[in-house]
Amino acid sequence: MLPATTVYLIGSAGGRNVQVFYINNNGGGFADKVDCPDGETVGEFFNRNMRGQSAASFLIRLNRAECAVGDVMHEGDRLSITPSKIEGAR
Amino acid sequence: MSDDEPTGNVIAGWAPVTHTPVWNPADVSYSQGADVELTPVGHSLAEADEVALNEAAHPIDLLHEIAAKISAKLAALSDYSAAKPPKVWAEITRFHRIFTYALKRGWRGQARLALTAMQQVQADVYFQTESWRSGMVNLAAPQRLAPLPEEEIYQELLAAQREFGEVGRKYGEVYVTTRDITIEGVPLGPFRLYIDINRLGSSIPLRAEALKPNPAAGTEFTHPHVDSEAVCLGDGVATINQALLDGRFCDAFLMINAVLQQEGGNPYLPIEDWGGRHCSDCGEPYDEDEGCTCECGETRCGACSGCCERCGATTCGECQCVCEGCGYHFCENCAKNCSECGNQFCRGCLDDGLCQDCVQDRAEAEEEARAEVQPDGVGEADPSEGPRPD
Repeated sequence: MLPATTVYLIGSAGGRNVQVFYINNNGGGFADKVDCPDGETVGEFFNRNMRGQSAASFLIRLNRAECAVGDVMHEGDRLSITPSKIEGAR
Repeated sequence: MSDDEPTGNVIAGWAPVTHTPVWNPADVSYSQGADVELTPVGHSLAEADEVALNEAAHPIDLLHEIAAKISAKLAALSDYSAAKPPKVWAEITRFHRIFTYALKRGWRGQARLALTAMQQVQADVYFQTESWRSGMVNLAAPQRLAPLPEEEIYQELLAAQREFGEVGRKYGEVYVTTRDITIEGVPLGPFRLYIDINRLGSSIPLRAEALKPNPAAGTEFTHPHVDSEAVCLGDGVATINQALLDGRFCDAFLMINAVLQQEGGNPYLPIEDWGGRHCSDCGEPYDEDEGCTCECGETRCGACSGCCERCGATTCGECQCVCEGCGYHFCENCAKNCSECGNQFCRGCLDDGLCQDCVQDRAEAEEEARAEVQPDGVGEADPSEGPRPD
């Protein structure tokens, strides 16, 4: 079984990057265009950017639709990661 | 119907024209470096029909209309010139001019009217200036992106329709309806989440209406984080506000839904107190065997109930009488009103229907009356005269 970092290196073996619009709705939030290796999957992207987090705790949407962790991201894609539970207050 | 237990005929990977989801990552058992197992999410025929019906009930034109309205509002918020100071000061000075003019003419009634109008404007000063300030804060936000164009906002609304089944509009509000929410086994029913488009930018203009409310016993809380339809978003407030200002309505609705999915954080009322009883006096929860039922039928917690000192009957706060004389608590049956002053007293503190104060007052009054009738001893019997003949 390969560790996550190795998976990332294999994904970037081609050396070409694609730009995706990444929206992270966790914590303080983040939304911007980021570069990722061509052929990188949603799962690999998640592992790289959300270290220590479980994908089961998030709703991951690619181009506004639910997606699989094995889906490959392409140039101009829009990936949003939203926690499935957020602590409210009073 | 829950995601885990689809009913009816399941079509694995069913994808209608506008529906692309096939896999739900939330249902995927996945961890770093581990083999990934994917579980297809099935859509039942009943669900497919429901979505189709909602799409028919909400024509594309409606979503376009909503998107246009949101786009116009966000464009106005992004306009730097829109962050002009409120005109509230101009209104106050106008009423001041009217006031001085009226006083100069001796029209004091008109002057008072101007003052009343000025008072109303004064009450709006804080809200207008706060709205102005928060508008400027939004414009200066470090990660602020240009709001999405109208077509993108429309795509967001379409995505929200896919997620929630319907997107509707009611007056100036856009709404979605969540699925049934259950927290730790307590069913709270679905919630309809409204966002007021006209109030975007000032604060999070959100309200959550419980469609099948299951309020906590003795309270009006329909959810641990909802009070009078206002949702306290806690950790999500910054990201939800940013999503709304960016025009990412689907993200915003999903995050609000995520807040409603749990009671963590600092809830108005913990979910473990939901099913128990709550004192109608103090609102605190209590165990069923701790409750005291008054003769009027109301049951309250032990701290808010009393016991009659005379007969031992349990009384609630409303039915309890406090003796003005001794200060002890009595039930309504054991307390009586003083026939003179009308205050409530226990029977022990009443003397022939009168309280001690009234007895004393009456004695003093009688004494004074006697003294008025015979101020100088006139009419007093002379012991030397002996008894008067009849």
